Amino acid sequence: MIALESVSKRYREAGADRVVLREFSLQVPEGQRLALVGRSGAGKSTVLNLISGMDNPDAGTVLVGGTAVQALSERERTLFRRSTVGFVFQFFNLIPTLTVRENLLLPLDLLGHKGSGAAEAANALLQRVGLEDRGGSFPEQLSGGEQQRVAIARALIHRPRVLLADEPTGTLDEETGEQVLSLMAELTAEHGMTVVMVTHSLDVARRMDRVVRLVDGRPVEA
Amino acid sequence: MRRRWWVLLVVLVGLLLFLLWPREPARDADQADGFSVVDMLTGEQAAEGYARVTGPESLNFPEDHGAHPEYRHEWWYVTGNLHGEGNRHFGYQITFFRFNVDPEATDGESAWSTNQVWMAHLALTDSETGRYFHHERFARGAVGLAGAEVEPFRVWLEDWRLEGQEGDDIMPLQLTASEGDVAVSLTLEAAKPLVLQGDRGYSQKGPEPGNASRYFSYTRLRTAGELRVGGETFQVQGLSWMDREWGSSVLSEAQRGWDWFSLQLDDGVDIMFYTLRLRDGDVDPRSKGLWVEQDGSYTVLLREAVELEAVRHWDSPAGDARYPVAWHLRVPERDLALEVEATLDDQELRTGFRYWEGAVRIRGEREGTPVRGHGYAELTGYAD
Amino acid sequence: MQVYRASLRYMLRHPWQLALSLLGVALGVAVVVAVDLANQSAGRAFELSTASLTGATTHQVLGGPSGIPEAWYVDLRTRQGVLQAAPVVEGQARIVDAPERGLRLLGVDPLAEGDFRSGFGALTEQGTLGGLMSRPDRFAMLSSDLDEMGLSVGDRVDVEIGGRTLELIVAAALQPERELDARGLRDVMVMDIGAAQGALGRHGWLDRVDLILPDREAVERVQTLLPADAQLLEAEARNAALEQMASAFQLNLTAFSLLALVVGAFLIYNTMTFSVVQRRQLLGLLRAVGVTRAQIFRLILLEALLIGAVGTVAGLLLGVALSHVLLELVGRTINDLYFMLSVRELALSPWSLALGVLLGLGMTVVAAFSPAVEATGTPPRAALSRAALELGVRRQLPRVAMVGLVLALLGLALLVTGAGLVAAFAGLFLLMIGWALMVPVMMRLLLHLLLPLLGRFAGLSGRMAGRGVEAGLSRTSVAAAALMIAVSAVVGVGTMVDSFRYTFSQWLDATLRADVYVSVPGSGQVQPDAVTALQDTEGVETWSTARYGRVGSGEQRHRLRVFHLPPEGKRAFRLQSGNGEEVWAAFREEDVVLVTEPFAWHQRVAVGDRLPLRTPDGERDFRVIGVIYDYSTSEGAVVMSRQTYDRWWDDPVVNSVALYGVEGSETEALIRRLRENAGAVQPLRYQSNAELRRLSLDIFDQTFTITQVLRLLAILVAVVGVLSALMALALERAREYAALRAVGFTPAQIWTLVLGQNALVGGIAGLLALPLGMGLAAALVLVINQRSFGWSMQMAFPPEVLGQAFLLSLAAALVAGLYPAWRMAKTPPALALREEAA
Repeated sequence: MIALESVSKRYREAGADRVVLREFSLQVPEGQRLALVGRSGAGKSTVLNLISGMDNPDAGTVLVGGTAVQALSERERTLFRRSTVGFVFQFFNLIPTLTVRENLLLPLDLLGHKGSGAAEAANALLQRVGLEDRGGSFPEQLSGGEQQRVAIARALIHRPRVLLADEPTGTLDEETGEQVLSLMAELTAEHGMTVVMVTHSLDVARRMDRVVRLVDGRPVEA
Repeated sequence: MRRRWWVLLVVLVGLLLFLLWPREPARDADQADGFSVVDMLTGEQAAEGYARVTGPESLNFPEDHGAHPEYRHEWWYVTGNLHGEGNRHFGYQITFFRFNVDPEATDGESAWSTNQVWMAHLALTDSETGRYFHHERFARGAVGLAGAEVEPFRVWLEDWRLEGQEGDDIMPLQLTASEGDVAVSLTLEAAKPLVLQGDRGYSQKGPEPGNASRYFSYTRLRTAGELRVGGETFQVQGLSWMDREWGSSVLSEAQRGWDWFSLQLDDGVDIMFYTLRLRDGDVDPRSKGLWVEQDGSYTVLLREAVELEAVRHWDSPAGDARYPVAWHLRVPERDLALEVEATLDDQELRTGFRYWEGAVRIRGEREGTPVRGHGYAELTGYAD
Repeated sequence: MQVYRASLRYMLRHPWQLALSLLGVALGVAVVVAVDLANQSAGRAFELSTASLTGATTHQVLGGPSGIPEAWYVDLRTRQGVLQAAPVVEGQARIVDAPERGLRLLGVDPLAEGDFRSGFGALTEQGTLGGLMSRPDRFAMLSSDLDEMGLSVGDRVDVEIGGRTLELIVAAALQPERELDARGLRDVMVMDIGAAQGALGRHGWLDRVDLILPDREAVERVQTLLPADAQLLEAEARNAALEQMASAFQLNLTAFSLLALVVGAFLIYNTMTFSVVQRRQLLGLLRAVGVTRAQIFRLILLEALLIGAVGTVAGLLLGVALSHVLLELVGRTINDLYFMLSVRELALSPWSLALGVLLGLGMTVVAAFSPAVEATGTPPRAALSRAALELGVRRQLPRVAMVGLVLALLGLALLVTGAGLVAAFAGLFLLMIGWALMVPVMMRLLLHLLLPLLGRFAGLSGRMAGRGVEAGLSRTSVAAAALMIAVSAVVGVGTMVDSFRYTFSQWLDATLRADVYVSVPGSGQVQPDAVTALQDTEGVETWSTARYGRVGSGEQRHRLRVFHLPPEGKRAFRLQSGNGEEVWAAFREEDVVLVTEPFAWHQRVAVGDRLPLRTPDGERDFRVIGVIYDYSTSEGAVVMSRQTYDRWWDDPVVNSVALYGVEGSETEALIRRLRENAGAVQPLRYQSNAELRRLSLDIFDQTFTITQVLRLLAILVAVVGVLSALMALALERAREYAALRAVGFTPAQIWTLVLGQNALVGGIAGLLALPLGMGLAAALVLVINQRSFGWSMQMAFPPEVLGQAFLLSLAAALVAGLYPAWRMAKTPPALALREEAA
């Protein structure tokens, strides 16, 4: 499903170059749930950015579902991302000036799915995550855990083939985090989604199918 | 959704501009405000403050050839019938009117300051081609723009001039006037001395005291000179008639207007006659005239002595006026029967003040002998 | 859709930000629209009044200094048969009970007016004509004007004409048929020509004769009939020349108004940029979710357009309201400087409004362009920190500064080498914008220099403030630039006005040398007996006289001043060019003239040139032997000695007499004696040197009121702009300040920090504004005023103006910091530290 071949990426910071990924190669078969671990700044988020097409490698290829993402234009990558990828971040997943329901509808809206079909899908998903009565609330009115649940719903509503998560439980307490992870696992398993999750916590990592550690810009299976 | 915002915005802005766009207001038709001559000639109340003609008084010449500014109105009125080569007939009229518009005015410091307004009419009838020309002018009687003087005699408005000699006898007169297509340059010599109208020059027109004027005429002036009509110049000669009149109120409220005739017969007799028409349709008994013999002696013609019957009428193209243009005039006691007819129907002056003033031709019989002649008729008070 | 809904709600949730940007647009648009409307209204009033007063006139005959003898007019009608002619006498009047309305007095012959001017119908009506023509005290006015003043026909009114108060009677109320005349005849008092001559003391003379000449032949014929010193001019051409005179002034106004717009644009830029920065995370999220760059670009632009649209509408309404105020000022200034103009009505020109809309929307889009681009550049998920953003900006700085330098040099070049007023203003704008673009670089340099000083004098807080300003350079420099532009305008205009005033007052000192000046108000004639009486008064050492009028020259008419000078009087003229000794020797004896500076400028005349003037003997050449400084009128004038004048003109009229008292004599006593002697002959106006000087300066100050108003408006726009920019900056740093509070900074220390940064921004802006402001002043004085009016002025750099401007800048910035400082200090740290959902 996902294949990174000899990908290199460096960032320019305060006058010097920092190499983040060094001829990095990684294969993720369809349906696999992968955890990416490593020290801060090791390049975990960068990998997610490359897979989703939000960033372009300096060298190498990024294949997602057969599409060579790095060869696409900026616009094409964005359109690709719309349909193929779902994202959950550590914080700030939701648009603060939209209601919960409106946040859910956003990805469908971008894909051109409006009307009653979309509304039904949103309601259904809200129900799945147990927040069917919070549809009209604004994100700031929800607790951290509730926000992450909505985030998951938003990330999945358009049935993407890949779910990318960047430390989704980073700000949550253990119990709430547990809830969120279960929910994620449940929903992604239903549709056989490929999942790549970045995390610090080894406990969280162990719940996934596979763990890869980033060391010196290179993957190390664990 | 996005597109609708744009459209709405554009429509709103457009609407705003449209509403605020100042529109040029519709032009109202220009109405000629102005000077009312009729008001100048009538109205008892408005005649306050002026000198009045209340009875016969002897006239003094040459002074009385000039202006009498303390009276409300005055005119020097010259008409004539002239013939050019091939007996081509022309009629002409020039009148200098003077009005006192403010009887209580005191002498102003400025040379322009005056209470005298002058108006002049110049009209020419070309009977052969059926053309009638008329022009009107206004000027104030100050700084030399218009006025009347004696020693030598002169009455003028801008460059229209009637000039004569020093002394009591102002003859011969020189008339010069031109405007547009029309120009006259004529010499007038008195064939008979002047005659006093009414009672020794006191011509009463209405019942109230002061409804009268001082009135005298030169009934026969031999005329020769040049006319220019529409580019062509004609050497002409014939007879003219000059009326002099001044007063402060001519018509009473009951009177509507007058029909006035000056007739010059080829046997040497001149006749003046006017009927004062009343509002109720009758003729005022004070209507009268004058019969002037070949030698210049004259007698008054009373109303009863003259039978006047209009036999043909003409409607003015400007509407609201129906003028008689042909008459049977009989003076039985003189054994006179005349057919008087306008040489041209449309000789109406249509300026601020509408009246008909036109050359007439005369055909008839006096004491059994056929007689012909020309004259002028003036018809006022027909237009509403 | 969702994205737009989100954006709209964002704006509504930050009402202050929204309000400030709306205000910025509104103010900018309002000032431009107001000035444009005022100008248009003045133009329209001029058109209407000239149209009504000119009427059907095709040509006008104008005479020499005395006018046209009325006998010539009479001859025209009675001998030459030119019938479409109307005599006119003109002057000024004021109703004693309504002194604020200057009225134009028109003397006409109602019987001649028929063909010429419509709207005068009431004059010839029964009952009115007699009174008007035969009495010296009757007048007519527009019925609506009379109603406004509470007058009706028959009322007696005290009217001041030519220094005398006359009791006049309202004879008629004019009710023109045409709407155009009803507006164009405003503030016009009509009298019979004889009465007007009497009121103005011009018996025997006419100011002009209006003619309707149907063809070339008629024109040529009248040419041959003209008196030798008279001219036959086309009515249209004359009106166009008049209008032209005021155009320079109006252009100046427009330029000022554009300044406000420029500052407003800065405002939009600032606010849009801030809102983009504030929503970086949001934008990153949107990009992650799959919103394209183009969509983000459109989003920002649309937001800007919405603000622009609402702000523009508000600006239009505000501008219309403001224009009422400006209208009066513009009208008054034109009246004072150029010609009689009554501007009482706002001409709501759709073009002015359309211009306002275009500018408002246009400037918003232009200003929002850069932030929109920046928004699209937001990398998905904001991987880059604030610091990295600043780094990016810093890399741009040299390039921006380079562009700025080029523009500034270009502007300078245009100012110096360009011809005409528009080029000068364009150059000025380029200079200002160029300098503004260099502000970031200069600011950085200054901060580097200041940092050690700050550390020494203000300790840690000082250094932090300094670094804070530098760290947010992309924001602070824009705020500083906007403030700087406004302050430099304050400096520039203030210096220009001061320089002008200084030059003017120096000139007054040099020119007003006599002790007492005697004249007839309204430029009447001082009777010969009165002149003698004045000259013979005890205590008078010497005297000079002056005659003012107009003289024809080719197709133009020039102001002519004729002076009979005492031997020492030559010092009253300061020569700009011309050989001093040669000038005074020739002035009396030869056929020479002096011209004033504006005259030389407008007419492109120099020393040695020949100037043809119409004398009663025909047109003669007079050699120009000198150019003198003169600030009494921007139209320019020709100056001639009485001796020369008397050689060619037969006109003994004297309009004013200046008397020099014996050494040591007391002016008040002298005035008393003069009044005693001459008062019996004629009522005159006596003014001491000091009084005249003060009066002149008062008029000067009054004339510049409008500049003050515009300056105020520009400052207002700037302050609002800076307010929003600096406030946004402080709010952006909320977390930083919260962290400091957590570390242990007291609220007072926070205050110091915020205000300190603001003070730095304000101070630097003020400092940088000074050279630009002085450059502006130099451009205004040396180039723009020179080209607009023809005056050369001495530059004066009053230190107060500079000092005040610096303090103004500082104060504006500090005021802008009050609210954020208060908020920052007050907010509990924990609240701010929480990851706010924006």
